[in-house]
Amino acid sequence: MIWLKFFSKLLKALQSGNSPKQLSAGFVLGMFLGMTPFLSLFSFIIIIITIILNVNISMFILGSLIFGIIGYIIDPLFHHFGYFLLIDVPALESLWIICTNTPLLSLLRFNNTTNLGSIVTSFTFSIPVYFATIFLVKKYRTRFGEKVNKLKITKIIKGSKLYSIYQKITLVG
Amino acid sequence: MFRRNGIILLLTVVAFLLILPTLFLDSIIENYLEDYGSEQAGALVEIEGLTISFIHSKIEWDQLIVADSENPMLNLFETGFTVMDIDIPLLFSRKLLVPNIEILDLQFQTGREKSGAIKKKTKKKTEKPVHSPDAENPEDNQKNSEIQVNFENVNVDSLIDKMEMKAPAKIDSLKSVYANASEQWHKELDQLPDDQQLDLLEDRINNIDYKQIKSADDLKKILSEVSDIKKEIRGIIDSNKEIKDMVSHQTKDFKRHPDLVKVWVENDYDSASEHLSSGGFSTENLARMIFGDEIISQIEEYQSYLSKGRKYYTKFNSNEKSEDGQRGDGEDIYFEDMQYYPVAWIKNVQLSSSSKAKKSYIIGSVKDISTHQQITNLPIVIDVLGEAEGLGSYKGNGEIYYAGSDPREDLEVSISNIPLKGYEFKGLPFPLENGTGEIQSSLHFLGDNLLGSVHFNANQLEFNLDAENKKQSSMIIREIAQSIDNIDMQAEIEKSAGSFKTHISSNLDDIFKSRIDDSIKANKSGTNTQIAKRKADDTQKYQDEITSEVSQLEKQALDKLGISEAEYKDKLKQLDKLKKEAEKSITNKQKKDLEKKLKNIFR
Repeated sequence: MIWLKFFSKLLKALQSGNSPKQLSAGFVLGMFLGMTPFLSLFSFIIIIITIILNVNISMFILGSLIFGIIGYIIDPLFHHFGYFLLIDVPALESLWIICTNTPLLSLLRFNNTTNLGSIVTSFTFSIPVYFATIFLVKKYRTRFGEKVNKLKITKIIKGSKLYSIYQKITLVG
Repeated sequence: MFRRNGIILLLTVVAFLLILPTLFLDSIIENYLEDYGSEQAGALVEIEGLTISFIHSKIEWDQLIVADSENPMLNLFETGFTVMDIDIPLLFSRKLLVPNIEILDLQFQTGREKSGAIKKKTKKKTEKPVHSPDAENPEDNQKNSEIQVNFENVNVDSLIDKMEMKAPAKIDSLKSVYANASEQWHKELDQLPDDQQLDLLEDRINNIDYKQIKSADDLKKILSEVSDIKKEIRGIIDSNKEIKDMVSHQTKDFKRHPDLVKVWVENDYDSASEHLSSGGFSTENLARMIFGDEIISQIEEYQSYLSKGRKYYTKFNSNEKSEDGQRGDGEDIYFEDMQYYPVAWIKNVQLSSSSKAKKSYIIGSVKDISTHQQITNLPIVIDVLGEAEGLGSYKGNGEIYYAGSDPREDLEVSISNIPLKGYEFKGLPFPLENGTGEIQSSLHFLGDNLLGSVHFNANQLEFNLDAENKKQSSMIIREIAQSIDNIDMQAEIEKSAGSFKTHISSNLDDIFKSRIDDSIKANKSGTNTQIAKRKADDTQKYQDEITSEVSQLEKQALDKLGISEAEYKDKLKQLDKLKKEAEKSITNKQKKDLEKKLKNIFR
């Protein structure tokens, strides 16, 4: 049921529900959540931002799922990258001292190798991913939207009893 | 741009998060601390009445009880009401700064109604303690037993048992000489005619009948027979004489051997007496044997506590990656900067307690416990004094500093009025009935090295001489234990490259030496009398043994000689008589013929 809802919302959003920027922003925020360790203050902040800002939630979930898997695989790389930044770049040491000793900022645990590596990686890829997602959404709407609607699997989902019941419940609700 | 519903949801959640902790935060944190504390301590940790006040920046609790993991029916310690000031803003920097903790009614080793054991999740430690002299070092046990062995040497029987007696071996060699001689005698005796041969000789004499002489030829025959028999008898007599001379000559030498035996036995006993005069045992540095293990084991106990401190400090300061890293664990890198605070810093712990029921108290302070001394640049300063049941009054102060090139711990501990009743010194098998002790120790650890001194003074000592439950000790130990009423021991300890060097001196060395010397002197005449008696007895015994052996051999030889020389001489006389009778029985004419023939016979 949840998956049906999610899939349907995603299709709606991609087609006309939200602007490409909203979709892309949701996807990038999802990437942040997926890449960084889940139980951290940083993740909590990302969730709050997602709730407050008018970004697409489905794209956020999609982004966190995709990048969650990627993040899990490349976790050791985050550690090495974080270690490099914390230890092997002396120029940054004063920054890390401030980060680890400043109230509230220190709660973000920038002195943790994996945490820092994943956050910096996420920020580094956020802009390219943001624009790439906008580009892809636009391309989808112009070229692939109709074709996807005509796909058998889309019709099956939309025509299923469950989907109808879900639609009715949603309308009543 | 903003999601209205989202903002409402967020505000709702924030409100919920603010209200919930107000209602339940104290109990949530209390439970968390109990679980975390129990896991760390390996025994039940109970906190009562925990309250957290962010407005007043305080954490308080009514009671904190930590059970002893080694003995779950006892508490390691328990505190009464405790107030802890906390710097709240620093918590947002992930730093814990505790300017002051006031702990009231701190008590150690209090009893429990229910067991404080918990099921341990951690693996059982298989590491052996650094050093356990009693259980692990047989050399140490040997040292303890040496005291007993050495004292026992004073006993004459034990002394003689241990003495190397040379006389018996020499006496055995004499006996083998006798056996060889006896063998030689018997070989010679076997050459003599036996009873059968002697009977034949007797028959030949008896067969000589001068009445049957009819002619000069008959006489000639008889005289010739008499002459042959006489020759044989003289031969036997000569052989007998030779053997007898040989036996008597040798036995004459042998009969001088008891004097030799006497000299040998006396020499042995004289050397035993000499051994006794020189002590026969070592009294050097008895204090080392008695106190050495105890001191080292105490120091190693301190070291094990200190090593825990070093371990935790290192844990906070090391950048080593955890082995079983899970996702997100990563590695925390700490950056030192003097303008910031360490991760945790307890500036001042004020301790105070008093238990009227147990007549014990503790007051004092511990200052500047921090995770990063290189930031605070302050050592941990300990200053406590108190009194504990079964320990007496104590005072301890010290400095612990880990931020230097080598970790350093300087500790000064003095304990006075230690009740010693029931205590048993190693090597002395009597528990103390009465006595009090004082210890002053100064230990300076630097890295793996140690330089320290311990001064122990015990007064009004009375040993329970009836309570000896180990092996029977000699009277001398009993006398020594009876005479000791004070022990003054000074130990200098040095540890480098993992090995201890100790120099321990005490009045016990002198007491033991002096008492043993006195005892030897007092017992010397008695001991000498005993030795003299044993010497005389043994001398007589060995002399009798030799005399008897020689006499027996001589008797055996002479008995085997059979017929005595006198008997043979009687036979010769008998033969001479027969000769004369034979000569009388012939006429003058026959005499002249016979003389001619006899001249031919005896020519």
